[in-house]
Amino acid sequence: MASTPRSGMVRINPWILVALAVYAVAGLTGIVVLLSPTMNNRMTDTDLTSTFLHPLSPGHPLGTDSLGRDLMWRLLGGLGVSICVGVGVALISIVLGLALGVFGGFFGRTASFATGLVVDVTWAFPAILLAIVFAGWLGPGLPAVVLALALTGWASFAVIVRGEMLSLRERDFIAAARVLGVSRLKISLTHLLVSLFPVTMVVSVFFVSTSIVAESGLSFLGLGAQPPTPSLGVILAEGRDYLSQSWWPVILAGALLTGLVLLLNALADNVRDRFDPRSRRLQ
Amino acid sequence: MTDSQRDLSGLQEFASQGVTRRGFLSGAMAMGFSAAFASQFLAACSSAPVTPADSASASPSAPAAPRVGGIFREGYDRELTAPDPVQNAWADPTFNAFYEGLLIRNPEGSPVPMLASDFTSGPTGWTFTLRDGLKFHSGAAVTPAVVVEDFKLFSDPKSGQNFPWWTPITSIAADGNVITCSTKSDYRAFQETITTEYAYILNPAARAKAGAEYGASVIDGTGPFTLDAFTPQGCTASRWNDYPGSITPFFQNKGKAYLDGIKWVPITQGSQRANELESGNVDAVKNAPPQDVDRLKANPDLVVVEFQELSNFFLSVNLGNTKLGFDDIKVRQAISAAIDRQGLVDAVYLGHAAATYGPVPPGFKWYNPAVEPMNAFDPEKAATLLDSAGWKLGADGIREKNGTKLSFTTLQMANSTEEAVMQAVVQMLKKVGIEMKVEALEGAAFFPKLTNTLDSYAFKWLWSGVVDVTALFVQFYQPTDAPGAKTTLEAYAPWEDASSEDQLKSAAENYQAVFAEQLALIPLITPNTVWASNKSVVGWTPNQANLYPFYNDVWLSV
Amino acid sequence: MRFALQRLAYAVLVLFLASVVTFFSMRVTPGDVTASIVNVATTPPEVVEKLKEQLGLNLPIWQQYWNYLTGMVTGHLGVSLVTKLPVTTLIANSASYTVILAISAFFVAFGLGVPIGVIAALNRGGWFDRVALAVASFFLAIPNFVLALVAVLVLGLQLRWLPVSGSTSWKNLILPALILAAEPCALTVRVGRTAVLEQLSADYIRTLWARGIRQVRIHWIHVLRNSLSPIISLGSIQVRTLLGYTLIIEVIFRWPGLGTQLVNSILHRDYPVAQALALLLAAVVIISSALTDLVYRWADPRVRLSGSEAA
Repeated sequence: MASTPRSGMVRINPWILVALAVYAVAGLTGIVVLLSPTMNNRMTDTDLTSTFLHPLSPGHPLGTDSLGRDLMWRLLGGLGVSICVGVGVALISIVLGLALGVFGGFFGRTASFATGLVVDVTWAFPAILLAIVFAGWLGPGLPAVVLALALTGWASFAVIVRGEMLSLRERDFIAAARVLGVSRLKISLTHLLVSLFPVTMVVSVFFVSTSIVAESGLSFLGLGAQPPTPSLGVILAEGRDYLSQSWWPVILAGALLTGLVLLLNALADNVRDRFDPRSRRLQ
Repeated sequence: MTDSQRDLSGLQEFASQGVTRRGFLSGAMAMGFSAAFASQFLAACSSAPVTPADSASASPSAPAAPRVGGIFREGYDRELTAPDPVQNAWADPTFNAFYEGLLIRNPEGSPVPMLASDFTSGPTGWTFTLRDGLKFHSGAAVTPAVVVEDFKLFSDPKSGQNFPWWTPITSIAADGNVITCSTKSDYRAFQETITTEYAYILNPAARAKAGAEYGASVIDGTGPFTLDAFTPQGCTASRWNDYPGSITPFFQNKGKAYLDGIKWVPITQGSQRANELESGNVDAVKNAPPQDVDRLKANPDLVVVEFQELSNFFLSVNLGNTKLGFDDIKVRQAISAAIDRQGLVDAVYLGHAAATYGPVPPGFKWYNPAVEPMNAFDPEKAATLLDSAGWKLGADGIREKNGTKLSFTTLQMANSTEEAVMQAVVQMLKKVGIEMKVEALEGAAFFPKLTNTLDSYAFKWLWSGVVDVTALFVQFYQPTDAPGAKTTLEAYAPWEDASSEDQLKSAAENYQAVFAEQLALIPLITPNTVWASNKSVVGWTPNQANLYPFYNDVWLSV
Repeated sequence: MRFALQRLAYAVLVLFLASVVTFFSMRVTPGDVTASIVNVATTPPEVVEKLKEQLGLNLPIWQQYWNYLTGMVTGHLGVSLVTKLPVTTLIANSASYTVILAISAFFVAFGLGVPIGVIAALNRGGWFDRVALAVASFFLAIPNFVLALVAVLVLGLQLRWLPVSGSTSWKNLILPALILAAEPCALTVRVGRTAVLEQLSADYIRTLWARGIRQVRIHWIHVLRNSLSPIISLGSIQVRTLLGYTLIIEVIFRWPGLGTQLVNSILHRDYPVAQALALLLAAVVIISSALTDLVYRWADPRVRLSGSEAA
């Protein structure tokens, strides 16, 4: 949903930024409270006498879940976990993708072939399969999820980086700079990072969005965050068991998650429009 | 009653006054309920409010003559395991279709004939008189020699998983069609073993020939059905047309089965069970979750039976662990006192369970109520016990002694209800300064870790020999030289030596008292088992003495 | 031709490496298949050991891998350790369910997505276009398991229109297929719309119009035909993500397809089944990616491919 171009420059829709800021603040609050030993009991304290409270109940603005835990704090904590994992996995994927892409693009045909091979083997397995295997291996939990997601995420980015690197290597200005004595690798890297910046931006936002969804999905299946750590996926899974009794955990967590993804997708669209004029025309 | 429950009952009255749907919705809005919630409530409500823990709703009047035919689809709450009485991961309802025992328990809990026409029990042992002319599915004859061979498999520690309860049997022999199991003294408690799934009669030659495949691709028993196909996600059976009939007194049908076949459908996701029954995917289902029970009971097309399960969900701490103080009886009693079992029953099971303070479910005929005050919910008592045991509260809220924190990890099997229980228990223990972390694993990963050196685990046993099974867990998963284990097992011995009903009763009562004090296992909850079926299913009668219903009498009226 | 052979040889190499991954990743996972077969609780250790022997688990790991590899190649996929059924039988039983689900989802995704995308493009800027884009964005954003839960809640539990799990009748297919199709459908709407818009602004449209061909015919025949190429290439790229989604949907809805089979076999440590299915999954992705490359190459010889760009 890009705003109409004015004098060739596309601004990022301010509403998107506002909404993202709200999510960021909420997520940050969640993380802070989760990590604080004195305050995180708001998310984990059970109260067996106040189970299944509706939203807008006294003391529990968003209600309580099946064990009487406050939903608002759990949702905030879950949001925090989602954002942490999402950003973390995206960062790892970007860094790994860059490293391997540079390696594959710069160091000759064997390196390029080897990188392509590793990418293709990684590509053959859906993230969920790797996550199940890692969960079996390391025990269920966020480390297994982060590992599985990071290992599957970097592949597509590595390919883009490698392609760009390959083309950069042979350009004229590289030869020109060489004459001046600058190392080839250094030149390529600098130009690489500059030319890749727009793609990286767009890709990062997508990575964050897909990682958040993937972490929630895996937590939903029981492979990710382990109770009592809240995660939007865990809240959804717990809510599913009692769906006929109380629908609001599922709806609230689902809405929060969907809203975040919508926002990130819109942001990615915006960023792409900003950097790639071609796609603007048709929107 | 929570706020929501109060509101709900108010709404129920409102609904029961015969208000129209539209009127109800607008009224509900006025009371502050959203339309979505109100319509959900309407769907769940019938004209009269339903009280929880109802026992059987009105059974339909059975039509006149049983109809032969049809495939009975039974929903089950676990994945299936290959049915092999000698070695098996978990006894499933499939056993009752493929096999029969020499004796079986009637709904009142007393052993009655099944494959044996008569039996005796006395100071020299047990004798069973085998019926004549019995055959296995494969056609092989069921002879006393075959039964002896089976018994030897069951009793041999190298093959039988139930061997601990065969140890008092000194010899097994056949004479004519009488099989004798000799003992040095009366072993009345043997009836608990001989009437269970793991003593059902099978063809040992077929088992030896099939090797590791027995149970999954080959089953040779005497039951009214034969195996079609088995996978953990589904098993199908067909009527055995050469079934010689049954002499079991409480079976109404003494001949071949009425059903053409049975299909067991595992539905591990609890929230799907009720829906599959309601939508007609299955004809019956075991253990629809507590939050769906009332709705099912209100459904006029369904028959719902609910009673206490022959099971117990417990927490175990290793009696040999001196570092964490589990060897200290005060620590174990403190853990037990910190747990609000009734709160768990009300919140997690919505009342469809019973708190257990001793080793056996409270519905057991020889239940000893004296166990209740011993493990009553008393967090102050827990704190006092821990203090006196030397575990002082640290600055972070966790108790410590000699530099060690009272913090440990407990393993459990992945099961959403049981995990919810453990999460609540974690919080309860936290309030008295004990830090427990829980790791939920699936079966293949959980069982290999279950050893007698494991710090702590939580598990639910399901078995009809309720006194025997707890002793088994202590024997295998506690270091038997630990004082707590020794005392508990010593209290079990009189049960095995009992020679009369009275002796059994007093042995059981004493065992419970000792157990509840020593807490070799810390009992938590016994859930209710809920059996729901479509009213077109006739003769499917779960009872409180056996784990699963029998299939001889079952028929489908449509 | 030479390129085709090279590409296929490369695919075989990738497949081989994938087999190493599938084999060893399963084997290093702690946990034991014996726990799914016998009551490890009360079964004496010698019996458990003997069982492991019978199941071939005590052979050296390299030999087990070699047996596995040769088996995969010759089509002897082994026997399930838990059910003792041949893996090929298990695959045959489940494959039809997965195929039915995938095809239904495919039909919904393209059958709904293409027309909606085209109409949206033709009504660019109008209310239909705006609504279609908004709805597509929503379905692209909502994770499929959340959509599944909401659908189960509303359609299954509240309104009682549809069954929420199992596979007894065609009605059980509706929810899983719809939810599986949601994201691909939304994507098809967007891509289709963009493709049509690109076509609409092309010169040849004016030529056709000048020649007097009716607008409807132009739109629905010529434009659509030329827009199909990006839509089809979208489909091939989606194979991998769709396989992952199918797994989740099957598990959530208890749909007895290959996905449920795979997940259950991993949870039970039923190695032969898990390894065979995982490799099968990988093979589908690898082969479809190779085929896509070959098709592109054949369709447009100007496209140069270095290594693989299955991104």
